[in-house]
Amino acid sequence: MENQATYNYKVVRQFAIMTVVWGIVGMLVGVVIASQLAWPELNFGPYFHFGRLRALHTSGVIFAFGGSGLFATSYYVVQRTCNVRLFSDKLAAFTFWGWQLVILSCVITYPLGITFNKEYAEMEWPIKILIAIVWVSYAVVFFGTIAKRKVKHIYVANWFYGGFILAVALLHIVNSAFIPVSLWKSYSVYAGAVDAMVQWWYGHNAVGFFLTAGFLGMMYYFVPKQAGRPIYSYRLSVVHFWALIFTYMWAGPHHLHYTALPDWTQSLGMIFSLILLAPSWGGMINGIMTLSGAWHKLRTDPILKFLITALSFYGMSTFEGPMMAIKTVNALSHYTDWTIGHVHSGALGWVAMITIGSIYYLIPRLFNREQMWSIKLIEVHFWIATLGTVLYIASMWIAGVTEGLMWRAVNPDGTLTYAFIDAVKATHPYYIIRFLGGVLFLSGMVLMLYNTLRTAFSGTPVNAQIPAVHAHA
Amino acid sequence: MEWQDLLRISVTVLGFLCFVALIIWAFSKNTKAEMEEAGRAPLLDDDLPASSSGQNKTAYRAES
Repeated sequence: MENQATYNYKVVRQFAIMTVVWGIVGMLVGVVIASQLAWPELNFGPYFHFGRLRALHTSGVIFAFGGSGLFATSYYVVQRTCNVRLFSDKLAAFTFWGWQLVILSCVITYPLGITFNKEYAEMEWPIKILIAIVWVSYAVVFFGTIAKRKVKHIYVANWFYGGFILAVALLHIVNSAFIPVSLWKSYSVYAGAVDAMVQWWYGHNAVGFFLTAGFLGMMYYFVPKQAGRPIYSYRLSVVHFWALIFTYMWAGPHHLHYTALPDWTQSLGMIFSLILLAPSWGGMINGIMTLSGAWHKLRTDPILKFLITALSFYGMSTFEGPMMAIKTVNALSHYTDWTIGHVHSGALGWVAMITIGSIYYLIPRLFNREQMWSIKLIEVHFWIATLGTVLYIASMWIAGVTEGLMWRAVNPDGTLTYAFIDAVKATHPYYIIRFLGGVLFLSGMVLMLYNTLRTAFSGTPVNAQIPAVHAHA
Repeated sequence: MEWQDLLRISVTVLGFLCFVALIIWAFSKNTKAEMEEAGRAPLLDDDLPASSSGQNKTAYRAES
């Protein structure tokens, strides 16, 4: 039965372990499809083909790995900062098993070719309904916990988590609006340019709220905790939150430059993408400056290295993003591998590293241990992951710019200088380097799983006591 | 359509004004102490399981 004297660490533990497991699965599929691009002979039959596995990779890393990480950390942070146990243990357990069922359904249906055909929203309608139910339960657990908190102030990390939960519910429900024609086939209710706009309003805000706001929630709790210092400027964090909320929703059209979307909508998307640089960098500086006066900790603490490197990559990709949203730059970068490089500088550098750092922070606490089984192994993981990320994004930048330049090159008589296959051939070596980068990043995750299991088996699963509300400092 | 446009414009302008008000509020002198206290709160919560865990916390308290 519910024990109000302790925190619910059980559901945090479950999600934390599954974060590592799904990280390996999702990234393994990523390595598989990267090798399929480099060596096309590896595309076997319909079920093991790039076209079907690609969606499995994106959903696997975003929703299974990232999602589990967000569930784990948000449940931990909301309990610790509100000084109360989760609103409902049963509902929290339902979100865990429900979310695993969602992921399993995707793993089964995607290779079978069952798809809604919307990027990052490929799951067919029965799975979409399950997601909506799980997500509403998540919101109830999270906001229910906030409602019964014992401290007056709602810590800023919870604002970010809360914003992420509400926005994702809105995005998922609007973009998923479907007309079913059979059990496993449905069509979007929107059509044409409107459908495209709704999709990228969803797609970009999935980046903005799922992959940014949620992980900023992580940042605002785990960076100060691991550094042992309060956030550099709490006031800036408040402005950071509202600035993101007010601007992100408008940036989606930059995915549809030079398409059938009205020109003014494209320009609007571009302007708001440029504006986004300000809050993004405000947040990054706020996180990194938290270490001011304690920089030496970076030398010895690999968990802090993960968290701070994540922020550096966040800064890089949020500079690159607005730049790529400028229409003239987009004319070169769009549809090339530059986009893939940009996404992975955010996904590997920011999202995965901040998650990895936070999970390394959590695991010992969830198993009643002072620290991870091996700190050295975390250090090794950090360097492997950093090297993998750099190889990945550098190779994709070169490949992308090469493609962009070759596609647009014209002879004096107006004919194209290169055939499409020329650009494919030119990028081949970089595809192999990208594959190597992916292999490195994946092997880091395998080390993490080993370290996690050793920590788990040498500790005991606990539900920590809820301390008395600390006196006002 | 006109009233729709008017509504859209008002919501946008209102949103912007709210944001400006929020910045002024967040950086006003009155909220300084409250904000700093809020920023310190998670550090006062000791979440390390072992007995040696007090170190970090006391170290922080000593310097604040």
